[in-house]
Amino acid sequence: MTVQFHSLLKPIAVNSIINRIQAYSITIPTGATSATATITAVNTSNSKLYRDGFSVSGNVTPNKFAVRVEQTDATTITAYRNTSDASETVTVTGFVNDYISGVISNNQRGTISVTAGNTAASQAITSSSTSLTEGTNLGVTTDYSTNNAAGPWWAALQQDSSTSISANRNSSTNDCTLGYEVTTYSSTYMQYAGLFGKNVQANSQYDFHSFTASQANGQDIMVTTGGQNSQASIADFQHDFVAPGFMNSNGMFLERNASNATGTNGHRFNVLCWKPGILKRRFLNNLGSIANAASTGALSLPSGFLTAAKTMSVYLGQKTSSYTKTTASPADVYCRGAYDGANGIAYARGGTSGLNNIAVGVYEFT
Amino acid sequence: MIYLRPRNTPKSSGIVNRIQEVRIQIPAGQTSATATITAVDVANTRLHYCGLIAASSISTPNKTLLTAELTNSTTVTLTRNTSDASVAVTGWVFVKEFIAGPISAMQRGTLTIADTATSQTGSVTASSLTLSELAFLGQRCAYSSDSNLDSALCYLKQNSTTEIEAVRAGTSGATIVSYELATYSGTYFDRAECLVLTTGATNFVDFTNASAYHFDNDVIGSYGGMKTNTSNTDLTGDLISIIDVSSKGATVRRGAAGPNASVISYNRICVKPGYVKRRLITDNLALSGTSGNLTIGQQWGQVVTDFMGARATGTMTKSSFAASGSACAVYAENNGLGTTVIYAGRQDPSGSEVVTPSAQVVEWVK
Repeated sequence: MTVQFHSLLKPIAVNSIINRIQAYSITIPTGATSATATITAVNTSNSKLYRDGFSVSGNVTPNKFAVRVEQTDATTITAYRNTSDASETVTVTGFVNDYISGVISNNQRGTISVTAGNTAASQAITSSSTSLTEGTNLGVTTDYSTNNAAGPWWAALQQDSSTSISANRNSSTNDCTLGYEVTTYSSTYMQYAGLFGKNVQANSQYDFHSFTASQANGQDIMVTTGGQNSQASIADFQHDFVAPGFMNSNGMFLERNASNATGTNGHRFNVLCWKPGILKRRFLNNLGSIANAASTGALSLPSGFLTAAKTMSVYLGQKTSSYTKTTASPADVYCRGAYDGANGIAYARGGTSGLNNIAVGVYEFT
Repeated sequence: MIYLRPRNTPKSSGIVNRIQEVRIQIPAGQTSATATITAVDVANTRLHYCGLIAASSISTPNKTLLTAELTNSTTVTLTRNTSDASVAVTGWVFVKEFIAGPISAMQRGTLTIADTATSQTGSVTASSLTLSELAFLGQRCAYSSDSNLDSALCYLKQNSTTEIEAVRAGTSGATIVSYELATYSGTYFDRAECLVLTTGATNFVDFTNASAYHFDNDVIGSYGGMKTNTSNTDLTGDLISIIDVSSKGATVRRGAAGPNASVISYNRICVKPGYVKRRLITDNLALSGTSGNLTIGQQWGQVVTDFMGARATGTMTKSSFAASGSACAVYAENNGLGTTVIYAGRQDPSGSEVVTPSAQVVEWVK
């Protein structure tokens, strides 16, 4: 047998790369189009924002519930929707990772607007490595108000080159605005980070081999979302939503509640492969749910093993019951799921109809 | 003959006392060989089978396939059915000694499937179906007509608390399989069970034993063997490997969807949090030649490797391929330069045969 040696990975110089992880929760009240959460001050050059999904209190159209978040300044996270509503609120939750200096080499924040008549829009960025960059979709707002179809505003983020990103959707109706953070990491801490796409028609394995190559190490891989598209030819949300079932060093297994022969929908995930020793513990699956007739759910995690100040979660998708897209109440369809300390993972929505499984990734840093 | 001296890791303070890696060569003209290891408490020790490599081409399974056994506290024995005048066979084994407590009962032995039979049961002392791992430690057989593996390969299953069974597809010559039935303490393990999957698909996912509350790092697997389908003429659509075992389920894979299902068994083991530091299962080890390796990064400490099956790509007609060409071994070790590498190897590939073994590497907390 021929023994070959690969080049060594650079050692980690610190015990923890996280100063602090903070959870946030923002409810946009009735009559308002935005609201803020105040956090302990972070260095915005070193901080990274994640979203754990959203919920809406009642049956309104996407212009009133589609929500995005942004890091406005060192102490403020802001949530936006396009149009206020006199009676319904929108709640969005997530985490802010405050890294030590040096982990993030460049963080670019902003929005991309896709205007009526277009399915995509590009945005120039400062040159960013396509193999050390995470492109985070922080939600989409829209002026679409016809019904609850998702095509006009389910937009995915894509890194097209080192100097260009784009927002992509499957319908050209109305306008939508995608919020993003394009974060480039230092190779001292990150082996690999990239935004990758997968078209899913039925449950399928999504191998990471092609891009993690010989660096594959399941313990060190973290997945975050870049968003997904919605196919106009798919009439039911159960054929459109995708939720990762599990992940390890080989890849993820992506699931829909039911396959559909007529359409595939594009999904984008960031795959981050940290240097060994940075990620301590990981949990990723879609076993947590909100049952029919309930508005909340929970999933226990072994207690005493996660340090809250070092632990974050990210929403990665859903498997939903059968909901007709155009007529379903978004209060029933759209769910949040977030790490909730000793309670494990907490799930919530505004409505109570239908069983939904929510995919959440929980990541504890050393 | 001892091919390489056992490698010891220092005695640790975790639930694993010591891990020893053993490579044993059965020389030409011999049917067995032993290695001397540092003395272990056999009641608290698990043997991990990593596969085999023949020194050059052998076409018949009776001379290639081998079993591994922990003969006594200081001896590991590898055995093949029939010697070959010129060809040696090497097997890899990891010896993992737990501290007293994690293993509440250990039963080891062999099952012999008689000539013309397809299965053989064995009685065991009552063992929990949800806290027992039925580990496969290789098989040896009398089949010598050609390279067809139908009568050679078998899998293990636990039928009841008091009965285990070995099953194969063919009926020519006897097959002997070595096993360890380890029953674990609920203090250290949440669950351990031997599961049987039947599939004709390229990817097959088993979600029937999801454990929602387990961190992915705490779920490990082990190979239980497999049986071919006598109606399949090509091993590409016959051989199965395990590529995922996680908090939600497991995925097994064949080289191609076959016309007829074959069967694999595996153990899914959920360790209480805090004992497994990191683990990965990967099939990113395709062998188009005789060897391959995969660097999995730094900071791995004491590791145990498991062979998780191998699948074939390309044409591997059952009766005419080189048996030793497809038989392969996997093992991981620190290369002395601070990096852990999974090595995979086989001997004498021919034609377009590609074999993809799957390996699991587990690092236990010291």
